[in-house]
Amino acid sequence: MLSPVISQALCLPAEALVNRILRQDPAALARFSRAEGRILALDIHNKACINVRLLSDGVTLSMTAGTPADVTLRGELRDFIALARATDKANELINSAIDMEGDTELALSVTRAVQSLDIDWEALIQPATGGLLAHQIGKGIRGLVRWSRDTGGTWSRAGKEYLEDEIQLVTPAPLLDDFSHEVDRIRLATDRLDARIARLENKNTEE
Amino acid sequence: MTDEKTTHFGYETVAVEDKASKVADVFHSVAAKYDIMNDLMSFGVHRLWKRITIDMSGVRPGNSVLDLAGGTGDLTRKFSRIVGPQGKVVLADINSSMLNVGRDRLTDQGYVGNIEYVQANAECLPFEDNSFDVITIAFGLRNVTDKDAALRSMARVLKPGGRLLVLEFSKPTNPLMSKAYDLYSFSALPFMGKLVTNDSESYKYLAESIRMHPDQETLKGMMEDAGLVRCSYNNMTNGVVALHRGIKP
Repeated sequence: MLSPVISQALCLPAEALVNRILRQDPAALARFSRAEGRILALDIHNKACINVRLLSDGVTLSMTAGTPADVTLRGELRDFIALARATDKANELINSAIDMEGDTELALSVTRAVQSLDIDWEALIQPATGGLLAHQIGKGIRGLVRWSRDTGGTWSRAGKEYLEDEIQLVTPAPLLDDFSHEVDRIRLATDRLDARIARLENKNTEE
Repeated sequence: MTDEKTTHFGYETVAVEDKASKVADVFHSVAAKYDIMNDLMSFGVHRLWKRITIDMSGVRPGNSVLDLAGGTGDLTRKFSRIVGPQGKVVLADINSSMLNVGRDRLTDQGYVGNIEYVQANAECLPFEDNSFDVITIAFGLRNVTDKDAALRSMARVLKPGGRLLVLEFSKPTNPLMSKAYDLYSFSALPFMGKLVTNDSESYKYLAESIRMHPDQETLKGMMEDAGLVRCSYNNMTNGVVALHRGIKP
């Protein structure tokens, strides 16, 4: 367990970074300000509990549990990483292994606000690099991200095709779905038959 | 020999009625460079102690907060953001120079609307009973002449269920740390004071007043005597500073 002073010292640079990023999207800040003063706690099992206090001009981060949170999200670190990476964060939050305790509407609205963040990264680095270089860096990063996404998608499709069609090691999802539906149908039919036999047996016993 | 009531001003013994003016002189002298000196003397750690105080205060939007001995207003600034437009923060200090520095700074930074400024003596607070959800006094109680009266006054103006937080220098828990701390505060602090504010005496008083301040358990007992309940404290930086917390029943 970290001492409060050390944990605060760790939170300070993280808070400064988050706020610097948030200030690049005033619309997101306006959305946060609707929940001004409220606290969302991220409880990472056996590791840390970070309290995020939402303010009109950013957030404060703290690991000192002095004020009860309005909503607590509790889960493993990998669950939070998956949430951060998800394209539909609200849906991921509802369906993931993360437990929500408290005002779930607040958690969902913050998740939606984070989802809709539109950061002007070039403006963020522009003071340090100058406008021209910032634009070139931004262009380079955007190209890299696009290339990574395209390449990742191609590899994923190629791998899927190889495993499902060429070496037939993995069952394709549509076939698996059909099989599951068939099993469900047979289970329901068996249940109905079972109930019918039970009813006939009761009738015989009464007679 | 006289029957004049006395109190301590650092290691000096002075008449009770003289202490307030002597403390006032100290703060008039250091007000302009107060925050720079705090950063220098604590290596910036005072900011972390204050952040912890805010976290532990349980302040919510809409609350009314009294930042007593608030000086240059660093706690008030953060409280003002948290309580929002529905809440209120009163920055109170007995010293007009400190209050002026705080008021000018906060106004210049755009913190207006939910902050009031009051020059007040902590021993007889000019507020109605049951007025505040939270009262904080950060590095101020040791300068108060009658600490028991101040704690009673704070308890009076707290709402039932309201919280008092006292952030103050205290007694280090580690003997080695204690020795290093003594060496630092009696030699380095006055030297820094001389360099930055051209006033080593004020920082000699700071070191002495810290030694004369009640230790953790004594202050906790004083808070209980003032009528607060569930009193507790957290040592920070090996007890160099302690955050005491009490609730008005």
